Amino acid sequence: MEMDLIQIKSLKTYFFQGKGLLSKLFGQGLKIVHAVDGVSLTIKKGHTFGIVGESGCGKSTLCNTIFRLVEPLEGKIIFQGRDVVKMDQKNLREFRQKAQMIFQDQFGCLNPRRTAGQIIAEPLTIHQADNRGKEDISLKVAELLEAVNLDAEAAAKFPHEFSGGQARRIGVARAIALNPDFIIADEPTSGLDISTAATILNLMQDLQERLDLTYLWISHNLNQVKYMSDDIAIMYLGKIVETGTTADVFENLAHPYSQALISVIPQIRKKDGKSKIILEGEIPSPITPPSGCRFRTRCKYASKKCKEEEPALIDLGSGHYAACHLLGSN
Amino acid sequence: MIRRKGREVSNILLDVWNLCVEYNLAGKRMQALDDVSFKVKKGEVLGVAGESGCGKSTLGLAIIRLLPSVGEIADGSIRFMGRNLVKLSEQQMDEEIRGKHIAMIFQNPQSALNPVFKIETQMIDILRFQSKHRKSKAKMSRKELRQQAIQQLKETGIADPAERISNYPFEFSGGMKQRVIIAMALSSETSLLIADEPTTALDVTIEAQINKLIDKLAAEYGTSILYITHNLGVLSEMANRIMIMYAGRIFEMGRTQSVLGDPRHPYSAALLESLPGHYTKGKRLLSIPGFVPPLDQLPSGCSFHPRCPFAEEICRQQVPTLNEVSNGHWSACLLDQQRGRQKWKWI
Repeated sequence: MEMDLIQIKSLKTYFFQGKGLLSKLFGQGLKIVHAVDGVSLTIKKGHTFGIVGESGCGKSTLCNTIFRLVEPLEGKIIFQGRDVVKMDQKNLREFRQKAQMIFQDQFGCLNPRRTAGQIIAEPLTIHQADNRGKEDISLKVAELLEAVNLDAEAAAKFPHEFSGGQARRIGVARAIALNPDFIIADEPTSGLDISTAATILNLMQDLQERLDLTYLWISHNLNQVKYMSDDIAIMYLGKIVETGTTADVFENLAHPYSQALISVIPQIRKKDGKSKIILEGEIPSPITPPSGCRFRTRCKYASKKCKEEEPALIDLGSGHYAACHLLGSN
Repeated sequence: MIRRKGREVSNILLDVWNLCVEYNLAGKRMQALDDVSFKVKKGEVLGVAGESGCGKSTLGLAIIRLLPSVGEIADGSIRFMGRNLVKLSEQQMDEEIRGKHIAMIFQNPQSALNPVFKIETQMIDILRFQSKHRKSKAKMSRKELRQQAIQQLKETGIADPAERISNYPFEFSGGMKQRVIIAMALSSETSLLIADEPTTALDVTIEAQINKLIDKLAAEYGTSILYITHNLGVLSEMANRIMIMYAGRIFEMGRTQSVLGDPRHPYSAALLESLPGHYTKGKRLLSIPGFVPPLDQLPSGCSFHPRCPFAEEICRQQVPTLNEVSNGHWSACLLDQQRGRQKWKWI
């Protein structure tokens, strides 16, 4: 039976930018960045949930919020029956054993003054998993290195001695060190060559199968998200505009933004003669998002209703949802 | 029309012959480009693909003669509009070639613009420099130059160019900055544009806008483009011909459809297999074993042989050269050349 591992309910994360004390006290000149604005999603155990969208759509903030690296304004994050938002430090520490993150910048997330072995051992020492002794830990490190296809000698090397793909694998080894259930992968192959990226994708799939992992997969590479994910959500300016199983969404694109986004993926062999939908302009600022539907400023179908009323997610059957007024009217 | 050795070669704009580039790092000489020869026709888009460290960017920099100080062109010629660029002085390059007939745009638009000057100042500087070295036209006033700059911005699709021109770079988004760079790079005289990963730092929707713009300008001005990228999908849509590079050498070259549709070199075939584009989950992607060799440790024979499961003794000994395998399709695989067409089954 398929179980839900994590449920996110109307999650909101805003950032407040003020110029000084006055704005903090009286709210004058205060700018609110609507980074994540009412996102709900459910990730099933053992599945990969992909999130796509352009830069600035709130994908990374969503990850950071789920991990409580950023505090949400409101909403719930139910993980294995408990609300992460309400957890105190002690519970949060437990949660962070079960949930791990793989970061975008493969070198930036590794301490340059520590060896790969020390880096991978760190979560083990911090969480005192099974009260391991020193020897146990070095055995476990060797095991983890093997799991990500690195030599045992790699443990003594420093991050700068590794190539981009190897450094990324150290990040993966650290993430799986505590036998987590859930891994957030934020652009796990950005900056890697085609063939190296393929290695990481293969590795992540093997680990998922072997360790029964659930992934939240963030990328702006649509081909990759399509390839990796069971379920998918397309985000635009802090909101989900379309979500469903990957097969459903790609088969039957409902939202005009999704249609445009998918049509511009550079493809080697185009199967269909569909032409590209090239959007005008750029994603608006999340400080002053457009009223009504946030996509309307770039949407060729936009009407008066889109300006006045915000579209809700409409059920298109079998878990496929899209937020567009055009869909509600027929 | 260009005449060379009495022969009419009017439709060839750039003719690179046996180009060798060496880097001299800490007393070690390393061959970054080895025997690279190709031609670019007028109005043609030639795509250059390969993994990082294969010499794509070095090639672009060598043509416009902007190699870092440790690099030098050791051998070969770069014929462009009837002149050999290798033989020109720095001053000649500055006054007659760079920014005038050959322009280059880079991956990161942020670092190509000076953050402390307005767009206006930076664009007018370039236009003034160009007009100074244009013999036929009279000197233009600042006002005229500004008008010209506004016109250029307009052509690259920037809304409100007359207003936006007095902004600073930080007031522009990444896609807008790349448009400004393209506006600065392209004048009606530009006949070759070297685009080094121009959309890598941009989102897909913006990437599509920029590629459409490059395409449009190329069609309007008849500009030839050397489009350097690792994204084969982009090349499949943009390029007339494709060149696959590895460890400083050309491995395969030909029309886009033939190279991507029927790759003759195992390396090209492998690159295509490692893309997740047309697979669904569960199907394993190909990852080529090993890595691109560092320049100071190039293997003997075919530089790809340590990573190639099909390699035989001959590949370790003999350096393959490009051979025409079918009309206009060149490949540098010894096995393919000796035994005829091979099917490279990587998975």
